[in-house]
Amino acid sequence: MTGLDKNGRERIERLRTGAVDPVVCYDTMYYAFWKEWERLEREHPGLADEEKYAASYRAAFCQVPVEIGAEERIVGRFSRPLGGEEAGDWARIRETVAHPRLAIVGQDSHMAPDFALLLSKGSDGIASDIRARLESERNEEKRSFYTLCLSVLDTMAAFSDRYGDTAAAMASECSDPERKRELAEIARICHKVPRHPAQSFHEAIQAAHFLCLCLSADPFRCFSMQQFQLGRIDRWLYPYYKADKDAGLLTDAEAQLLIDCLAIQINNRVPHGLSCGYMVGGRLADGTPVANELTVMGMQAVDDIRLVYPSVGYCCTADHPKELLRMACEILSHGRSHPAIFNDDIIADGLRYWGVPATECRDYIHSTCVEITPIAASNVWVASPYTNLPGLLLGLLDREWESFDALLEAYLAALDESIERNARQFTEGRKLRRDKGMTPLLSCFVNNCLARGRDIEKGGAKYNWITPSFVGAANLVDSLFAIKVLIFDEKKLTFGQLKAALEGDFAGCEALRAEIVSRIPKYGNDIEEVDALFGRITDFIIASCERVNASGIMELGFSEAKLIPSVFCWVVHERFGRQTGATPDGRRAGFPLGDGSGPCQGREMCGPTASILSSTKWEHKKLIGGVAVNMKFSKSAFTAESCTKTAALIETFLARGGFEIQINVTDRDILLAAQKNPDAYRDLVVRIGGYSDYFVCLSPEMQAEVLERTEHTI
Amino acid sequence: MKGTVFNIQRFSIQDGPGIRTTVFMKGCPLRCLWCHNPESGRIASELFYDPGKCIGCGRCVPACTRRGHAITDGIHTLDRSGCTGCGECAEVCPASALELCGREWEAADVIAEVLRDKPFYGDTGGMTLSGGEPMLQVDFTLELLRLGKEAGLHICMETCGYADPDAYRAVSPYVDLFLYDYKETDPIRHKEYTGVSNERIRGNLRMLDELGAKSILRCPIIPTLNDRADHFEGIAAMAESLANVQEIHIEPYHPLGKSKAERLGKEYALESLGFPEKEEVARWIESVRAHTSVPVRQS
Repeated sequence: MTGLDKNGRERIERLRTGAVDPVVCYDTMYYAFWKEWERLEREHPGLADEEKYAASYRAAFCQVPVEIGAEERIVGRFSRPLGGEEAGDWARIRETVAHPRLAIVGQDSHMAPDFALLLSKGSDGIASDIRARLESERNEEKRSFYTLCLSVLDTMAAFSDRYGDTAAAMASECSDPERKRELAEIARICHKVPRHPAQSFHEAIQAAHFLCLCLSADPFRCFSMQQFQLGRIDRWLYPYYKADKDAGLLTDAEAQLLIDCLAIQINNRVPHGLSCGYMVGGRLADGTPVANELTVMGMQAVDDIRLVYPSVGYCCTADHPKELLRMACEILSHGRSHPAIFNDDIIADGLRYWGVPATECRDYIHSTCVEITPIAASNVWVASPYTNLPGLLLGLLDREWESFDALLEAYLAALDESIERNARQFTEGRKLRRDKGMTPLLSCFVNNCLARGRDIEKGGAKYNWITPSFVGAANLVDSLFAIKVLIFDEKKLTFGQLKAALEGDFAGCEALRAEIVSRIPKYGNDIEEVDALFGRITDFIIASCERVNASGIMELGFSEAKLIPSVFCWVVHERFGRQTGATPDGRRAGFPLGDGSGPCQGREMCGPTASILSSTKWEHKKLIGGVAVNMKFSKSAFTAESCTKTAALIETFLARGGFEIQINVTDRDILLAAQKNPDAYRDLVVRIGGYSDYFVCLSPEMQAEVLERTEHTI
Repeated sequence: MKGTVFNIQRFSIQDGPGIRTTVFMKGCPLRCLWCHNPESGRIASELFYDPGKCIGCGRCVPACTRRGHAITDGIHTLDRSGCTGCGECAEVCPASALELCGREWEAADVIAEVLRDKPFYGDTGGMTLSGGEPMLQVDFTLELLRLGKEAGLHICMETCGYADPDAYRAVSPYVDLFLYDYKETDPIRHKEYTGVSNERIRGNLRMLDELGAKSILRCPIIPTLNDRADHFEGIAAMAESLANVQEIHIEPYHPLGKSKAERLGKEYALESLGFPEKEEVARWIESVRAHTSVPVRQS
């Protein structure tokens, strides 16, 4: 139930329509920066990189277009592609100037910067602090870094001044008195923040958005799209909300409107196919639950704007008001894909396990989907890399193993070796970025770069984890179990026969494939032996990372340079699936791997309770790199009567140590997909009262009936 | 103590309060024209055959001692006339195109299965006995109830009400909530639609109510059969006469049982009826509400 009033609802409707298929393009920034860089290199060859950076950054932000859209209340976006000649010139400079200068390896963004610092001090206040450091700093490198930081902070503020000037000009030409007023206010705010401290709710939101926008337009990361999260909006923003409300300066309707505008702008600065948002809920460092009006408004924004972003995480605790989880369920029942539910206590435990002190372990962000990083202190490389777990098994099937244990040992050894190899590779990547990278603006907002006098790329941040992610665990476990049963227990098959069947994508082996699919127990069905195997794999991955951490492989003079594992996949389960041949779990060549850490598609035959039991038999908390559990529910699970039950199910998942759960509600698209590919939807059940049947078992006539009735029957 | 069960369904959220596991027992004394679980009528095991899953491997052919299966030109055919429900063919079918519906379970094993989801039951969830008709296998049902209570489970029973009153007296102390079917007020139509009259059913309901048993009336509404004002008033009147009825659930007809009947090689009586419209269902609910203060909702 939205807090927007009628006008707000209508405006948000119009603003969101414009953001459904946005153009997100930072090329104007990149081009202007590198063109100036090229000119400086040519005309002033002795100039240090920091000086070139400062000058090019300034030149670029003076030139790029100012974009203020109709009816926008929170402003700042990059949507203009380059025109013909400039586009050609950028293509040239990109290849010949930018590419050679940059280290195009590794990850970036996937974090939340220090909004509290920006809002409390303003960029001028931060600059004052830096000047104080400069007074006593002798080290040339640090002085150079500080000087660059001063420049980019001022450049950001000057860019906001251009927005202020443009808004003022628009105001003077505006004939609608209401909009005129709004534009004048936007002008005032853009001149005030981010340069000066924020003193109102609207100012705070504008400052935070503007910082994220400028961070996104990072010329040294022009080969990858930036994803900066808005952190905990029910924390850094709350004091401004409270003060304005208490002073009678802000209504809840206006507050929701501004939050919705902030959320819409996320869609205008991050292209589709990625992920970006914020988190709400959780606890403060002293354990106090965070559950306030902005917790609610942050979730409501998802339902108000109905766009791809924000990816909202609701951090649930056992002593949160139950209405918050119910609210999340209700929003999901409308067909939204967020909020995702996170287990605050488990995650805090996991962070402590990996060395984050108690004072910081509640202040984390999901760095796009489920990767957990400490806010305002991270230079974490998430998903570095994605590892294809079942693919690794295929390489071991070309000999007759004497026992299942021998095969499993060999597999784990290969996995261990790949983990170590990847850790080395990405550490080398870090070194390359250390030598060549520069991200001064971000460095101002990530601890402890300013205190250390070091750019984030050079190890200024406190946390420099690398968090590899392991994809297809369920396929691996299902495959291993099939091998155990067919080859070792029942002795029906040899490795040679299995390999031949897989290489032929089961052609001529339909009975074998059917048997594997129908008769061999699968992960996700509360079967002890299979679930134990899953836990064995995840525990091994954790132990392997710990071995690497103890080995010194990742040493490069950065603090907290640990390897921390994850089991989520983003969209890589599809990519890996395309690259992977048929697997012993009955999966056909080219078919996606299982997503997240849940059962494979169509294999969750005993329903969500069994699936949750399977999911929570292995330890989640150490997988701070992220654990994703995706579950599908029918709409019947979200009626007024059943919503409480579904919420209770989620609470049980959390109580049993579940890390995160993401819910998708079965809709017409899923049913259509099930008609086209029944094998991937064998577990899709139609339930009406005491009746239940598998959708894929229904006659085509009945399937068509169900398709027309998704609200009733599914 | 053994009984024939055809499904144990976890995460049941439409069979009583909270999250439940529903035990579907095979066999029913009624033969309702609209039955959406046609596999529940006969107590004996029966063969489901889904031609869509058949891969034509032919392993079922030698498995059957009654020559029920044949593969001709790669196409499988099934002759059910001699089928004894032995399940040998289902055992060997790699694609699960052949599945035996209904098998014997030891009561203790059923309870063990139900207890697997105990972490989800909380204060409100638990076990629901359903079917078919649980009272048809009353000794098995009593054993499940006894063991269930020993294990601390909240227990619901779905029943059509057609059993010996003494049997209901015996089970009543163990059942926290009856989900009691009330299908047709007019006794003649009741017999036409379900195969039995409704005096015993109504009598058992009143008797249980007098014993203090809590109930929810489950009312399947089938267009052209019982969607009549007199039946809606009859539902309301029955509810008004019961001291311990909690709610009335209106269950709109759906045709999906037809698909199961096909896979069982059975006739399906209501060939041409489809889903009723939302507005129609809303009118039914209003018709009942108009005559009773007992809460009425769609199931």
